[in-house]
Amino acid sequence: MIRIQAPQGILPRYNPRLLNNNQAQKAFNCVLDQGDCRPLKDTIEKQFLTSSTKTVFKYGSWRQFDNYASVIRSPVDAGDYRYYWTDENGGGYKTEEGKGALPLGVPQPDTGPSLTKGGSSSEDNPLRSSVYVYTRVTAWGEESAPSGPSGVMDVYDGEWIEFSDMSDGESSHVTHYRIYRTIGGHTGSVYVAVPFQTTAGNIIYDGDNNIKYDIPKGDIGDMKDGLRDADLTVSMEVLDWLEPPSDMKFLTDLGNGIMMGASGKEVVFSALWAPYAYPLAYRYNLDSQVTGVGHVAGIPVAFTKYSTYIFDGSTPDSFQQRKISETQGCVSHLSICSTLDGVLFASREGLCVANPNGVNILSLPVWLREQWKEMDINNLIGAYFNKRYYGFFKGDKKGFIFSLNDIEQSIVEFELDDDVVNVYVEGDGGHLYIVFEGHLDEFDVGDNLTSQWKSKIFRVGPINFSSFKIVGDEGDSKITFYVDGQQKYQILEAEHNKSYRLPTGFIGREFEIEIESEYRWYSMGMSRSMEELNNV
Amino acid sequence: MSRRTLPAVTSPNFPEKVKEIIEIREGIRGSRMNGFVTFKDLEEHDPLRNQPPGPLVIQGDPPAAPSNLQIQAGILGNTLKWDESSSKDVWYYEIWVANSQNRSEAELIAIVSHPNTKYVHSLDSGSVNDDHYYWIRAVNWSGLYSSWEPPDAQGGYLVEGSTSYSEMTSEILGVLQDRIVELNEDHFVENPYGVYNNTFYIALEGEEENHVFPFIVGEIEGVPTVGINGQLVVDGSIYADAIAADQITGAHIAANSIEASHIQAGAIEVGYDEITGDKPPVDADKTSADNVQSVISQVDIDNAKANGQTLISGGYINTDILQVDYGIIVGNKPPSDADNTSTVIGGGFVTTGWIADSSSNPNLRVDFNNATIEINNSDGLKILNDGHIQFNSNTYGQTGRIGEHAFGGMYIRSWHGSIQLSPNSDRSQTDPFRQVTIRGSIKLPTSTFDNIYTIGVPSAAWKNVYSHDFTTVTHVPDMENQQKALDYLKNIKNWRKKNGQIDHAQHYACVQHDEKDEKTGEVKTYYGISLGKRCAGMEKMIYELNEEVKDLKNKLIKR
Repeated sequence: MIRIQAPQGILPRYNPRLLNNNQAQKAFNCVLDQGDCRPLKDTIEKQFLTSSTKTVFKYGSWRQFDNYASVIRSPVDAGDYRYYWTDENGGGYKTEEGKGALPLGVPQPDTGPSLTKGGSSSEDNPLRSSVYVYTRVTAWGEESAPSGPSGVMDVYDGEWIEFSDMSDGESSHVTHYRIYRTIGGHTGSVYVAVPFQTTAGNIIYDGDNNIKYDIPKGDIGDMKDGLRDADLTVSMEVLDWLEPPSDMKFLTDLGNGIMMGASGKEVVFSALWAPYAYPLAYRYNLDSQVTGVGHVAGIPVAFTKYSTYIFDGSTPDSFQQRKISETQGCVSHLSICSTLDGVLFASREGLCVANPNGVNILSLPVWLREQWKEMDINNLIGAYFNKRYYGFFKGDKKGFIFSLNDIEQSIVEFELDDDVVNVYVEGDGGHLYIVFEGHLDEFDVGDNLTSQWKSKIFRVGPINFSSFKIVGDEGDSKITFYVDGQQKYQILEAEHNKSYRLPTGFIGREFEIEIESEYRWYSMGMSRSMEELNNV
Repeated sequence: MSRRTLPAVTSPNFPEKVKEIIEIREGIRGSRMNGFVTFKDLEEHDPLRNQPPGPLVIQGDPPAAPSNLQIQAGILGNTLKWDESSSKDVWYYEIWVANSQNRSEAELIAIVSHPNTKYVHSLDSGSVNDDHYYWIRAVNWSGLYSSWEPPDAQGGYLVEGSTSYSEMTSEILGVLQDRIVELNEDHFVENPYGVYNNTFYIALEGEEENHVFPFIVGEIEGVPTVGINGQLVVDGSIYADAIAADQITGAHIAANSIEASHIQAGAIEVGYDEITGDKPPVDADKTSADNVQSVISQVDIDNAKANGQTLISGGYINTDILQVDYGIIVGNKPPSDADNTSTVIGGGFVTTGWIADSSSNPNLRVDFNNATIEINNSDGLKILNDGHIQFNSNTYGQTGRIGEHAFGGMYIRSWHGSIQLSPNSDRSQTDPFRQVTIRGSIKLPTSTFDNIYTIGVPSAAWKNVYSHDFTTVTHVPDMENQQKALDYLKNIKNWRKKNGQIDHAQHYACVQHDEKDEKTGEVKTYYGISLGKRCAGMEKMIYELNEEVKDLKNKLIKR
């Protein structure tokens, strides 16, 4: 008797005669996560898209991008649906609900401010010698790196400094300036913030009684710095807060206030909670072009085509980069999925997972390297959803589902109606969406498709099976029997839970059974007597 | 940012010291490509203090001096301009000023960051009369100074002080006056602009005479006016006290007042002002016109005028939808011909002075086809002036079964309102109130109890009075045979009990009707009992009870 219970997925690596009884040669449009086989559901169109849309992102409303952009939500919730992205070919941007794209970074002023002395003094010795710089501040409170320094100005008691030649970089998003000046100490000088003063020496406070450091652009002509060094307390934090590299891509949120991206061979990190600032000290060189980035619970992982790196440490200024694989690199940045268990990605040899312990080729028990390479892995698009890796191929209808919990036994394949452009997993709602040309569909939510499951090759003969039964939900399935490689018989509408007598002529050595169904089924059996089917 | 370079200082341990300074100063580790130190740092730190005896040596060439210093004197300040230094490593320019050619008395008043080449030296009233001598020089990133501009051989750039403030002011006003006079003449500033005394032209590409005159300035009826020659395209908004135009087309036009002989639009919304004219579209809180015919599908009147009433007077309104939020007063000809079933008059007060003399020509006719009237106020629905409500035979709907809404869609929902039905003198109206089914309770004040009665054939009348939950009537003062009726009821109840029938008559009401004796022609008054509570099959019960009452009465009389 042949009995199949708890059908499982395919293992193309192995000879179909050597599979376990419940493993499959073909598992197409099947979902096997509950021990039974249910049909995958059709996709349902949820949204019209422009035909050029390559990437979608939902934050408030749906956003569309004409390239394979890397999009993240703002790590700081300002209530205005801010989000940031880098384009496929590089270049960072930001925006908020209903606004147009702005450059991601805040451009650093080039030239320092010009200084004019005001007031008068009869003193012979200066109170201080100061160098000034200024920064640009946007409407979102983002602050640029400082300008170049002004010249050195000696200031005497009774004098103050006025400012000119400050530029907003022709950015309407820049609304304020902050001014810093040097103060000397026992061991050196530091830049400290200069509060807003329209009367020299009189600090202006905001509505919350905090010292006002942001000077509106239009009021810079009224600024008169007459404070003494002792009045200044707030040190500059943005000395190295440069714009991101102009070709930065793969923008990724590590989830701990740090953003990560890549530029050429460099992996770059943002300042803490400042997605717009990428200090030079936070940039790390890899051995070749970065092909993608990800993270394991906030631990950064970066890929080249041939290598994988991990960054140990808690803050970007102290990261220690460590190459954890010299053979497994990422061949498709769209295949990367960051999970708590590791970063999943497609290498030349298989579907891999990278974590602090190293890189493991997950798919090796399933697909030989050669079989893996036969797939269009350079265009593999991955989605991590319900503890499974959904693999799609750009420009193709086919895909596979890879269960990470039970890798060797749960690979199924499927085919969609249209060529896939991209995928998107909505974190909030737990939905998997497929970007097609012109429309966005949700995956596995529509009517049942027809599942196709073909058993291993049972080598049991010579024997003559006379009875068959399939057990499942109320419904029917189409059953095809193969004997010694030849299609022998079909039951077009085999009702579930009902025993069937098979015609004569079933003698053979090798048996295969294929089931096509729109209904859930659990097990099946083929025997030499009807009585035996009671055990199915 | 190659602009910052460290001064070249010869010291065995100098690089290390500078590195340390930068680290302390900048507070950073890692890349120091953009770090810098000032000379003051160097002076305060070991590179200078602890290095072996010997002067700090700064290598490199000083920058080239700025050139061509030009100064324009002004009332409020002198504007300095110069050509930048030809050196590539210029950091900034120093601005020095003195009141004499003795530069040792000069004061550094400003530093201007390279590549800026302009500076305004502001003058206060105390210094405007003084002579000022200016020198500038460049400083490079090595801290080296250029020679002076103007060169020493030439001396400082002198700007003489004005003799007096008022004198200078007068002079400037004179200049301004000259300019004003000049503007009254035609001027051709330079191609491609030409300026006339009342307009200007802009030369387009092509022929020399291919000019456009975008506007002309003049007067219309004494009002200074600018005329636009051609189209005026404005991306933003136009704010004006008034706009008069032959045609205004736009997706959205908002104005406090629009006057036109003809306004046509998909929707016109008017806030608190009015639209006047012979045939204005109706979309205003107040319209005065003989004929108001809307070309739009819906008339929305959102707000009343100051007195709380929306006024539409004297007109003839023809519109699909008339919606009034706060009220309508209608004059000689009320709104009519509301030919769309969605006509809505919400929460308003409708009155008319025009009395129709024929039911076929009513003064106010509103056709409700399958529509619902809801009256949600405490005043209820009043039909005055001996009016009546007529429900035509084609008014159909649910047929008044107990427990359901009845009367072809007439559904009265009010906790506190009442229905008052006055005697109808027009008996020609047959079968008024053919059926009344009331879901809920009727509370009958004693004073109005006798206002419920039936007319027509008693049996038909009885048959068509239903109730499933009469409130107990406790006082029937003017029914002389009340006690009799109650006795009848008692007997009925006993009779029903005796015959095994469920007694649902927990509540009752007494009603009376007149019945003409067919034999004698005598009209007699009968008293009936209406039983309440939910009671399936009540359709005939009251009629039967009535018959029982009559029988009992006859039996009692015979006794």
